[in-house]
Amino acid sequence: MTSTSLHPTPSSRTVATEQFRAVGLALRNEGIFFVAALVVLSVVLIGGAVQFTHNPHPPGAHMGFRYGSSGAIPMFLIGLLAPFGVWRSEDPARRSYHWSMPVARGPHTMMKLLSGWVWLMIATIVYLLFVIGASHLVSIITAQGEWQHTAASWEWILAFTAPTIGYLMTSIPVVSSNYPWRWIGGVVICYGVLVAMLKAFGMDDAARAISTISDGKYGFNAALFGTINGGARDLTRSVGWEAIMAMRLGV
Amino acid sequence: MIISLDPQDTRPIYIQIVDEVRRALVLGTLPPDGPLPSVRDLAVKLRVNPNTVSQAYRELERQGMVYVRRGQGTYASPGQTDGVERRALAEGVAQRALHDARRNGLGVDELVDAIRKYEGQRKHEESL
Amino acid sequence: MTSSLPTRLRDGELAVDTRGLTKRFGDQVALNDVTLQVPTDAVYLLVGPNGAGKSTTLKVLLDLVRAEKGTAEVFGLSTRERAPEVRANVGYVPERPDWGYGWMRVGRLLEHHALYYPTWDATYAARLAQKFELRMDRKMGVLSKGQARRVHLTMALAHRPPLLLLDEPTDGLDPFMRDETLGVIADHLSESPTTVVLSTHHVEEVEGLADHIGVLRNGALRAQMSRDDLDANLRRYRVEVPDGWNGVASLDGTVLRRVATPREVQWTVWGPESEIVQKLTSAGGTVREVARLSLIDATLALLNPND
Repeated sequence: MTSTSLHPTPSSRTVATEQFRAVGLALRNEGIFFVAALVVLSVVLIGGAVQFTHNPHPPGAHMGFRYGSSGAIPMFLIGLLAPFGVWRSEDPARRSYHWSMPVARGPHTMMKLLSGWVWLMIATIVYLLFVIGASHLVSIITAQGEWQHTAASWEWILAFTAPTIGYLMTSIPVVSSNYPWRWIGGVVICYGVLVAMLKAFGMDDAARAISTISDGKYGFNAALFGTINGGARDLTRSVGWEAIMAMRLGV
Repeated sequence: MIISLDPQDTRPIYIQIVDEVRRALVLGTLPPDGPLPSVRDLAVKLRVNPNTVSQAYRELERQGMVYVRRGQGTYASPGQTDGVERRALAEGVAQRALHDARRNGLGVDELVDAIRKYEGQRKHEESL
Repeated sequence: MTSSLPTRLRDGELAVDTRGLTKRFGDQVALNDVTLQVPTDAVYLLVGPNGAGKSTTLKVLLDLVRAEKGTAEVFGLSTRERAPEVRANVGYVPERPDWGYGWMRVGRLLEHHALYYPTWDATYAARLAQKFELRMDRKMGVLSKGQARRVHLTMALAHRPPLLLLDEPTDGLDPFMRDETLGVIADHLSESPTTVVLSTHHVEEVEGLADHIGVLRNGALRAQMSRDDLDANLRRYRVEVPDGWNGVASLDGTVLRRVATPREVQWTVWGPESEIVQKLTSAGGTVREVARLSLIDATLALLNPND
């Protein structure tokens, strides 16, 4: 052993804190864009509410906005994309910097994963605050009295669980492969092609069996969004959209 | 005192440093009791391993050309040693000349004759 | 008795001690039974052509690459089992310039790096940043190769690790910065006792710094020795030979190079000088010159012997 004593490894707390800050920094631009988008939507909704109050409309009409389970969809999509921001590396081998730090590779990877997840949850809270705040404002402006939320508590929780599931889903290929898009694209395409082919060959039963993965009672869409409809249809019902449509129709 | 190394010189570097200091002593650019650069400063200046500089300084001390003032650094020896050093320098030059002569297949006498002739020519030109 | 090229150092405390490292990438042999021995506080020059295995060896030490066979220890710690502790004691400058988060600014990356190394010396880091003329506000991803290299050097040196692994540390730097880097390394060695393993193509630059050398070719360590050993045993002999010269049966050493013209033969030989001179003389040659080699010439002879 050398006469100089060996240097210590950093404490887990220091590393975890720094990973949290670094991941936050990595996602900063996305975060700013996210908040800006929410602000713009708020402005649009408030504008619509103001317009609603000043235009003649049949009695009984209201500008409504029901937060439903489909409200979790935007956050789910963000959760899916988040790992690409968390592990932002133009070159797969850039990750070698992360892995050359004096921390065991497994725990270090976990810390980065976890940091990304915490930021995602923070984004979800911001998003829900927007949802509640904007709808409060709308109900005040349109003088419809106290806004009552009609969403069940489990629908609120979905806003947290859906993005978590999405985040974990894409984290796996992003962390473990140098070419995550190939894996993700591959899986989705195979699934879609398989179902389409089965239907084309008139094997509806088989097609339906396989597509229960997404459409069944306990399938994907149900688990994530509490609906048994196709995810695409629900996308059009996402937060804000209904409100905007309602504004235009004056109903 | 300027110490520089000849990149063409293939002798161990600590020997080159010793010779450079010797040269400085003889030429007077390093006066008696004059300070030598610190090991660190010289290592940085020459882009050389500090251990090599230390080795050179130890050798210089062993040969009596320098002494160490504790906590202050290395200094040139005060005594009139440059007679010894002049001879050492001359021997070094002679060695290199003889080495070169042998490489070219020349004998010692041929070399000495050539030196004398060349020196004579030079003196003649100078007196003009 | 022939002296073959030494591949093992004599006993001593080793900072880096690998035994029989073997690694394949597909069917490409990257490391072939490599037994690297770097004494503590040595400045070890690792030379070899591109693809010889230099970078792979350094990566094994950091556990970025796992060898199939063999062991590696740094300061007595297994590089595989105690990798984080090993890495806490290593300053690494990788070969690749795109190392470190490309989206992070230089200043922020230094801050990030500092938190991982409790022994980080902020004053020293600032001094290095100034010396290397780092621009703290630029993003890592837009830096040139040389600029990135200077950031990596700062990152590696500022926490004064007991071991520095420098993979082409002056690559991409302009001549002035290359020279400055050598001065920085010499300065660093003066201040902190450090073991250095560096690989470089610019062998002449480290002529003054390196005190050990290891020659890698095709993943195998062909020679490994101290500079003193190299100095004492490697010579170039120029010998005038008579007509009808039959050559020498065997020189007491490993002949690395032989260049022959009708009247003169030049050998580069590893072995005891006096015995070789004797052999040459008794074989009828006249030894005109026995010369030492510069580090770069020695490296070339060790790397490309006339096989």
